[in-house]
Amino acid sequence: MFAPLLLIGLGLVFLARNLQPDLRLMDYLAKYWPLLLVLWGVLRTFEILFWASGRQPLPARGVTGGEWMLVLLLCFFGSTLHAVRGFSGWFPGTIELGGLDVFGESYDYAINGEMTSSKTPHVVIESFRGNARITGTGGTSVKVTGHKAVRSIDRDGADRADRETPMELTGDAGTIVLRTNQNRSSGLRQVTEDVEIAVPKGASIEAHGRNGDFDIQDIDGAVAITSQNTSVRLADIGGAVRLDLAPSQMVRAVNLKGSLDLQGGGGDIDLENIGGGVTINGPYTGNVEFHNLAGSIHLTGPQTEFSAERIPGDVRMPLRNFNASNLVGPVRVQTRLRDVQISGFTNALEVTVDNGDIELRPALPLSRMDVHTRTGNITLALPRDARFSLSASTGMGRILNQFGPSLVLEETRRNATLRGANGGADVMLRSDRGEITVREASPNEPPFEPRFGPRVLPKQLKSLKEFSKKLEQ
Amino acid sequence: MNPPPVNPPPMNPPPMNSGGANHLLRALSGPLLLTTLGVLLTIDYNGGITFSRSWPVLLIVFGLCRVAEYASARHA
Repeated sequence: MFAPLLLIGLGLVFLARNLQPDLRLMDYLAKYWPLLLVLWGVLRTFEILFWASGRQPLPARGVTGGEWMLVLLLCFFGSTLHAVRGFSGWFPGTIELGGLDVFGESYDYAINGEMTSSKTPHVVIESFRGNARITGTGGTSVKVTGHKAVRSIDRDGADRADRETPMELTGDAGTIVLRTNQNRSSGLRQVTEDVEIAVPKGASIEAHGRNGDFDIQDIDGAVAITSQNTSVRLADIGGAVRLDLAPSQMVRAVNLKGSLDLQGGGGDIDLENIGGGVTINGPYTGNVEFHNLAGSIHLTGPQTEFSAERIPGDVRMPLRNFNASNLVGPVRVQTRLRDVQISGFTNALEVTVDNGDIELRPALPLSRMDVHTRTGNITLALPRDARFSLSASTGMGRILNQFGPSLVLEETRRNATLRGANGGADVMLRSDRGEITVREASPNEPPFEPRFGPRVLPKQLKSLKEFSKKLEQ
Repeated sequence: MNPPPVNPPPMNPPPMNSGGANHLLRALSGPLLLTTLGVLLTIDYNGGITFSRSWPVLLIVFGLCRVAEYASARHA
């Protein structure tokens, strides 16, 4: 009985649509489709009671397996329609496939706002999704311009989402809160904003958000950002910077006078001219670079830990490589799977590598060095005038002395040691399985070139050469 | 050429006694669950308790149906 009634109902609905074109049929259907289930269940109940009263045979099950499948399909399409029309978020958040929004198209709305502030206001940006460029100016007001993009199936839904998510500037002259209300948008209508925010130069910034970029420059106060899937660019910041980004796409900071605290992990990091200390915590899988850090640095990740007192030069950490030049120690590098190359360092050095080669070229005067790799080669280039007390040993491999006769080599069939002292600091080199080379550094030797790309093992290299020879033949 | 005969769906004997009442209860449990599902979703869509919180009602209704069937079978 349900099927004929469904047909009659569909006929009535389409007839109403034809007679009243303004009827918001899809909205009604999206909101009231569960009544179809109720109707179905009630009709089937009456059917069964009717059969029972007439002493007719009853079906073994009131609703068959096929009908339950139909119920599931109806629930799926009904809830999808309900979410798409924007009545609720049946789905958690929005539907994205590989970062692409599936439903609807983008509608743009202008955003404008201004509020008078003190010269050093605390500007708070709440629940922000989108891109924000924040620039310090000489004025005494916070001015917001930009546009809001609403992704929706139709213009009506986008207009509704625009009204639901007004941009607000609240607070007083000392603390100004920028509220986008993007989380008020119902259903699948995703609201993002691209805004330019002009703030007094003395302002401090606190931002919370996800999915977007923050571009902040010319701010004398502190900057604190808590966000997800975010890229952050900072330039000419006077105060301390704290970034909690889990994960970050990219962090680039140039000319920071204060400290930088970066948490959460992510992709690339590029820091240049940082005045205060730098603390980095989390797994960063992209290209990590530091240039001219005046304060100490502590990097702690699952694969690599690194600390130094200062970096007047450069540190580059591409995949499977740690390349540094001109460091002030004490320097400590501990890594599982990277080749380590450090040149021009002063003060104490401690390097521990599980699997990777180590190349070192210290500056004068030499300080204590403790260098250990479990599997890999060690190459140490010492200046001619260096003072040291060297002890090098390998558990399986050989030692090459290219420094001179002042070093004494002792070799057995499997391992070797090299010793020599001329009244300087302790230099200890240990490789459990690998070759050690101690050579004299030539003057004006350039810094080590970073090794980009995966390392090719000798055996693989040999087979590659054989393969290319065959190809040539 | 005539089409092959279609087998009718399995039917229970008419409810002439309490065993028939048991079959009636079993037949009614499906529509009752369906109606409950529709009611819960309607309540959710009209600003009431969300389905994510009210879904255990389905379990309760299903359990009550089973209890009624069991009681009917014991009574027989």
